[in-house]
Amino acid sequence: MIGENKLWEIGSQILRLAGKAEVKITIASAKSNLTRFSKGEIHQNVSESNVEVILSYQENKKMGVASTNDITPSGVEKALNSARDIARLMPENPLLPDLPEPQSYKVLNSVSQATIASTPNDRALMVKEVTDRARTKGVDSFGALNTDISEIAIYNTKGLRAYFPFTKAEFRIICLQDGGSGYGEAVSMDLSNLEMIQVAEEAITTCVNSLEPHSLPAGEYDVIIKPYATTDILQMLSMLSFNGKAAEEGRSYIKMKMGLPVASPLITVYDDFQDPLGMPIPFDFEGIAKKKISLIEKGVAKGLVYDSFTAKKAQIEPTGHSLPATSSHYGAMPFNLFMEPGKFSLEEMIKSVEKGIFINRFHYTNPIDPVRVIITGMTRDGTFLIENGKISKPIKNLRFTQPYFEALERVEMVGKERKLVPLWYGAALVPALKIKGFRFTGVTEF
Amino acid sequence: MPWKKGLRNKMKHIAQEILSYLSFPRVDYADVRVVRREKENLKVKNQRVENASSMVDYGYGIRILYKGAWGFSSSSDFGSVGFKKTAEEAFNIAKASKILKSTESILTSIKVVSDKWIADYKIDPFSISFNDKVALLMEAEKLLHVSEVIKIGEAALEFFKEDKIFVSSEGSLIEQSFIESGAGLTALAIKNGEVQKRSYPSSFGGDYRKAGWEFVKELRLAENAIRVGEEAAQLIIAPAVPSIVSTLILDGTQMTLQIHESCGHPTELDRVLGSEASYAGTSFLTPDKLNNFQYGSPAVNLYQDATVPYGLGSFAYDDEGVKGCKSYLVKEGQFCGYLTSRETAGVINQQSNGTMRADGWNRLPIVRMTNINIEPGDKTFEELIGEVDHGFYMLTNKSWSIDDKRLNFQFGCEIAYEINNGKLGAIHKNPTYTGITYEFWRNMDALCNDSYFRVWGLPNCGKGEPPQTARVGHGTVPARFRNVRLGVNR
Repeated sequence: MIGENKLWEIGSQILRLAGKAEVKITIASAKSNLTRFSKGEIHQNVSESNVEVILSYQENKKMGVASTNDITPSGVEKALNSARDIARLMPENPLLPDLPEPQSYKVLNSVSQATIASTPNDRALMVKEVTDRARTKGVDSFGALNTDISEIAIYNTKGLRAYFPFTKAEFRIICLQDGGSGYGEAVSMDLSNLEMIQVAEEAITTCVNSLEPHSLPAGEYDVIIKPYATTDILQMLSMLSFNGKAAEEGRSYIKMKMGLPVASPLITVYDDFQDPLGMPIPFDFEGIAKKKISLIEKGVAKGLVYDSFTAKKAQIEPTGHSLPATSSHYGAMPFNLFMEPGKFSLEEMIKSVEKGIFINRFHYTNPIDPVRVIITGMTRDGTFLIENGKISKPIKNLRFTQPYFEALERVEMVGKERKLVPLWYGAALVPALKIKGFRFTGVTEF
Repeated sequence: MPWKKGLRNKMKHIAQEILSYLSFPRVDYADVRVVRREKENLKVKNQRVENASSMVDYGYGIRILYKGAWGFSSSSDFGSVGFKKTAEEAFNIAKASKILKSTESILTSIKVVSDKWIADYKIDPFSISFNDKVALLMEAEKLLHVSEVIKIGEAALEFFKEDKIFVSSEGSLIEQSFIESGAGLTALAIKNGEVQKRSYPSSFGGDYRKAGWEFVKELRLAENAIRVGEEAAQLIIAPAVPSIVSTLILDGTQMTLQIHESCGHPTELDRVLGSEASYAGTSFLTPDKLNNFQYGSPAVNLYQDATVPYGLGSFAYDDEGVKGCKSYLVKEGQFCGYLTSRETAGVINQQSNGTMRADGWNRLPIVRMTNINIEPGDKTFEELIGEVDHGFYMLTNKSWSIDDKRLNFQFGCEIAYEINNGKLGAIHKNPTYTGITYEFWRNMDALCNDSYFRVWGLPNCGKGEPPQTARVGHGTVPARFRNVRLGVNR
């Protein structure tokens, strides 16, 4: 880690150079390591050290953004000059929000010394342990173990000063053999708590159980989806519907239905930055203290997330969910997602299905209709037929074309166990779901 | 701005200094890339500048092969201390890889080269003032708003510049520099909770080329804006494409995505051999199918070509120092080639065709598409349509999805025209089509001739862990496919 003092040294130099302008500085420092394996052997093993400075320069309701990874005094000065030059050539934007005032933040600990201290040898040996397990069960293993050591610092000319160090360890594994396929994924701030063995066993077992899959015709089936697939639903909703930008532009279904039912009463979704069961972070990329936001409560549309740009247009307070300045035009996103658990074990959920499909995860999902959140995608890495309350046989992967809100309306059971699944930034803690009448529109050959 | 000699020499010295620190015992091979990138993005939305940003990204990446195991480390920490630390780290990572590497990675031999390549452009886009750029976008964006239902208009520009030095322990020294420019328009019509979209000249922000500001002017954004706005507005009241099996004609822009997903990715040999299994998946084009599988109809000829003058996927040398070339992937319908690297080509007893590329200094080179093109046929567009009793002509990608072996796909387009008795008819909305890759290509019966050929730029091809984004090209013409399942919105 570079440390707060060094980051402040960079930030304070830029603040001194800013003069009377309003400047926001985001400094992201990262040391990222990734050990990737294929067929049980390490084939890619990489490390990256970088410090990126993003400057947002505002003057007379005009704004320019510049970023650089040259953190020398001349490098950041050049970037500031570049942001200033861009800003001065822009037309005025009366809707440009003021920079946020200094904030107070919750004290959160998201740093693990075990993650920081891990060496390439440690990672290789940890990977070896799981690939050896796969080998003894006769399956090929593929995947990656990565550790990130990150610091984020936000400063602005109004005196806002925010600093947060955090670590992340993430592991995913796919096992393949004779048409069988299984998957497991885990994330933790602490490498020593990363459940690598458990998810490896999950992937190996799913693979072994899914050998030589049968073909099932497309159509409407009741499904049990595991948390990996539940996460996909929340990710799509985050981008397309919970996003204050989507609301501003008239394409957020949640906004259109605010206060009305959009899901089964069994569904409650919220974003909570400080729950230690997730991947806590106290502020967003504008340095605004995060708020806990209820998104769907007992099936009713409850809230959206905003950055300062979308909040100003909506004439409300920002919720602390901005993206980095170079991506702020995409709007605001929740990154600490939680779905409340239900009462049922996975076994009880399967037992309740007369004929249906058990899905491990979704693959390559993409929106066809962004408002209704109609999504097409494939099942992947473990798809099974359920008959008379029991998993009867593995089946070939199916394509679905399904409105996700309609799927949430049709949720009949929610799992009592939840799993933490990594997102691009942050994570989602979600249960398995039983959904009635999920629409499959095609079948593939494996 | 052209690559300044001072910067070039500085980067060359850095690369050579780093290489001098890589003489560790038992190192089979090492290479160093020093890469400097600049990017400018401008977006106007509803007559306001929504994004105006510039980016500078500069660093170096070191790749080491130790006893047949790979290590890679990268840093933006310039100076001898940083160089030595990063070099040592790359070596230690390679040594750690050896813990779990029983099969040694072997590189096929290549010619050692010392060369320099600077891509052509006429007007440096970084020399054009932001004022002029904003004015061009404002003018075009304003014209999109032809109707009350056009709630969002967007016009965007992107400029990208890369200067790169490659040196290897084998003695190669390669300098490469290029500029890329892109621009486009999008109109969103929104009414009663329905959103319809039209883009020009293509989706994903427009079209992109290895070219300068002159390409932006050639695109004539303002001259196309009114049509784009009108089409988006018409889509709101248009009927949807019905669920039928019929004839499908794809325009050149949708052909880019069709080729990208169903030919480009499945012919990446590292994917075929399992490198990407844990991310987007593997490929149905396994080595036993090479020269032994009917991928498409005899009219299907697909090839990779890194030498197209303006292609976004063009370069002189890949990131292993292999010269870019042209090679066939599918010839007269038969699957006949892969995209390869020095390591993967050796696995199938071939030589690399030079497709290893890294997304900047901080990423490991992996097999990437260059420009994946289809050879034109002999039809005029009127003939292509004229020979259809009933079908749909679909344009401009809107959504895409394909399974993890690249077989079952489903694409959505922005707009479709019904074809009746050889003539284009009414506009239809929400066009989608689905199929199995080889069945779909086997049903391709005609292509437009070479006067319709254009290499489109796709700047957002994702692959790898950690994620890498490649800028690739696709040379296409409109093509016709029989017996395709259309209209799968539900």
